[in-house]
Amino acid sequence: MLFNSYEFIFLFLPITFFVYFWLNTKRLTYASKGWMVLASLFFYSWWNIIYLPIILGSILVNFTIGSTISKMGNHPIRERKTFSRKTVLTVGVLSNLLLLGYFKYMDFFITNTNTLLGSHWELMYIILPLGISFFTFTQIAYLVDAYRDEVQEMDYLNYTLFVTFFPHLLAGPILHHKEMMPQFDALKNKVINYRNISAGLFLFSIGLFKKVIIADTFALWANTGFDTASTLNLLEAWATSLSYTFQLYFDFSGYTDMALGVALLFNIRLPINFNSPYQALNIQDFWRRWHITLSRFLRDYIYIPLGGNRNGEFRTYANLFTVFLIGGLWHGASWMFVVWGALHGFAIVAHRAWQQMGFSMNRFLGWFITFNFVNIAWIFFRAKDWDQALKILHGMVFGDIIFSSSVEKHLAVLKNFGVEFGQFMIHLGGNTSTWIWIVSALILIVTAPNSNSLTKNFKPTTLSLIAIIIVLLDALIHLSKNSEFLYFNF
Amino acid sequence: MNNRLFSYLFVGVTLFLFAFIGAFNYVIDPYGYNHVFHLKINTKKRTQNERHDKFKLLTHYPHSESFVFGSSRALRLNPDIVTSLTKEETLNMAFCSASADEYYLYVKYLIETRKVKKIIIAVDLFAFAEGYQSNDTLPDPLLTYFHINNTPHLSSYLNYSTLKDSVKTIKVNRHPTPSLYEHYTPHGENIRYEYLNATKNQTTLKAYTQKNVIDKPPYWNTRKDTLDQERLGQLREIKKLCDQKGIQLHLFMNPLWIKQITMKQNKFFLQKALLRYIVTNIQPVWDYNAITPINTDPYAYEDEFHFSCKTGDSILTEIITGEAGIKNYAGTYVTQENLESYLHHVDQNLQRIR
Repeated sequence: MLFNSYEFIFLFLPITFFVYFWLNTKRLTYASKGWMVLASLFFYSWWNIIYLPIILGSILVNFTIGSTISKMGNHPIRERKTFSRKTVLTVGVLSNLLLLGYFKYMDFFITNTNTLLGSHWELMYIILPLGISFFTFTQIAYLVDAYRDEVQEMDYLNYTLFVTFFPHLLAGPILHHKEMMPQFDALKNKVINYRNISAGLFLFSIGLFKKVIIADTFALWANTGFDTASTLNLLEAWATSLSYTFQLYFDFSGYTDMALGVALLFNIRLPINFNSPYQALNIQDFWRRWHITLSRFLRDYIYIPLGGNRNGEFRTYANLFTVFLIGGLWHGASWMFVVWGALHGFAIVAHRAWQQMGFSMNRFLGWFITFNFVNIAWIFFRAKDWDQALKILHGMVFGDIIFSSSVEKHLAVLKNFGVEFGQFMIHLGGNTSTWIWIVSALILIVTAPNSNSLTKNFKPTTLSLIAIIIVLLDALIHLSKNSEFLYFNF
Repeated sequence: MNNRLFSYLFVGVTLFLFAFIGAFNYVIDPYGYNHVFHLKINTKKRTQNERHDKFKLLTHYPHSESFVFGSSRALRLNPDIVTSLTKEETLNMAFCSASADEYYLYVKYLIETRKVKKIIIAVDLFAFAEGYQSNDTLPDPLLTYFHINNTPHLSSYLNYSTLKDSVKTIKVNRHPTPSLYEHYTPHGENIRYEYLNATKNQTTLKAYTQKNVIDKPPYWNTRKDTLDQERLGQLREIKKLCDQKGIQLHLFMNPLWIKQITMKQNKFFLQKALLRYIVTNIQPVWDYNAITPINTDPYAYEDEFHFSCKTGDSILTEIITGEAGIKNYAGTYVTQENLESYLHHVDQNLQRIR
């Protein structure tokens, strides 16, 4: 089920909310958790019930392994007699990776094997179960935390609730058990909290607006530029790449706002995932602001176990680069994601070397370079293949310079320099308004406070009420064309 | 304001306004989905959807036998020319931005439901190009006839486009236009209004042509470099149905303003590929892009994309009688026999003009 659908907003969410708190007011707290699990599984199955056994099986296996690790931790003597905790953890992590590998990377593996060996294995055309990357990483984190004695969960219902809680199930944030389950157990969270409800509705409305009005508008130009147009002039190529850069941000951060807002209705605070990433002054800063919970996962469960920065500069660089390669591949089974990961890996290594040498940079220049690097790297992230990426890049550098015919009178002198005037956005199906959107979005992401700080400072006033009603109503009447969130593909 | 009041007001007011929009759209019913409320303000449904209005033309002219199809270019084709030359009542069924799969349904419907003598299709490249899609909706009776799902979803009443069309419907009903069911739809008339005004004297026509044809940058609304095989297949099927029922099928390639053919990033090569495909696989075609005065005379056009009614009259006359209405504007009847020599001739002409 999509957050941006009538079914979710007008049926699923209100029913789930009222039954959950009704059960809590009857002091049926265990039943309320059971209800939340049922609702979450229904939410997941709405897309395709065939994949329900996969998530349930994954939860059962991970719960069994996690509780075994926890129990072994409490009984060190028994540990020595049977398997070591590390072995159990390894089995657990490997089983998760195998599941993810089968569904996400099998066809990628077959294609590359066929290319390398000249074999003719048939592709399996496996459909990726929704959210598998997210619930797999969440559970790997849980197993490692259990191994580190940071969590202990002996209740299957609690564990299922932790994994399936619907606001974060499909596209994160990637959670730690310890930051969520205590909230479900806290008594004060079992009663309706109007402060949280007003803030949650506020955040949800902003998220819906970001997705439906902003991201879906940019999607039109980004999709046309990447998928349909055979050639692009200079302005069209830049409009394509910038449109995708903004689409991705408003789409994913819109989803996260909605997830955080919905969770808040149930008095659950999920960790923030975005902190104005396009305001970053360097690439390290960017990764502290973009998809924060994924960065945290990669740091805690890959970078640090690899040795982090503890084994000298060279190993640090190698570890950083490896982490970004894995981060790239996590997003999808394609060499384009690997290229994207490698680009960011190089950038982060270069930035660290730059810092080590004690250089500094003007803030504006730092922002400008970072934003443009991220924008260009997204081209590889979005492109289906190398040719598509090159088409955009070629247009951005060598494309014909064509301006709108409406400015011809004022800028006719530019004709002497090879500038043409005409239908300057025709291959994107756009016009001057495309650039008005792009410039407005740029100003917005650079100057405006993000939705989390808006929610933090949120005060219920008449003005904020009117503003947010307009925002939500505008989003609702544009909902008719349901579009999926980009991160559902990852 | 406290959080409790904020939450209740927020949910309450939003739901009320949202429900109000839905109810308003349901009552006005701009697309004629439910026909429950018959009010002075919604008697005429939205009039700007040519696809719907063209279908209504059929019920107002039940005895028409010949039909012209195509996009906004074909809106310049006066059906009375055909009627006067053949004595067959003719309707112009073209609508803006028509894709070939859309008019395929109309043509098939007509062939299956009434006695048709002649089908004339003004062929545009974009209508047969891969990736092109029109954004408008087809009329319900047509969709029902072909068993295409057209049940309005609740969301049909809860969206912005419907709201806009509801308001438009009220406006149209408050200031009704004289006649809805002419050979052209009001939209077709509107887009020609400025041009028709300009033709009143030579000075205004000259200024108009300078601004809208000579100075206006041309464009191709075809983005991919490939033809849509499914739509070509549908054209083949139309030909087959016409042959089976003894219906005359006339195809012609719309004339293009020379600047469109010579502009950078032009798709003329694809236009020629479409011509080649139709001639080779379907039937001979009248082509108007041999770089003759019909392509180079700015007065043959209303704007950078559309030929003029005068040009349209000449083309229709030539298709029916074999003699162009305006000699200079004559096209070429391209058959399998002369296809290669014709294309070579076009390339030579193009080379010369460049």
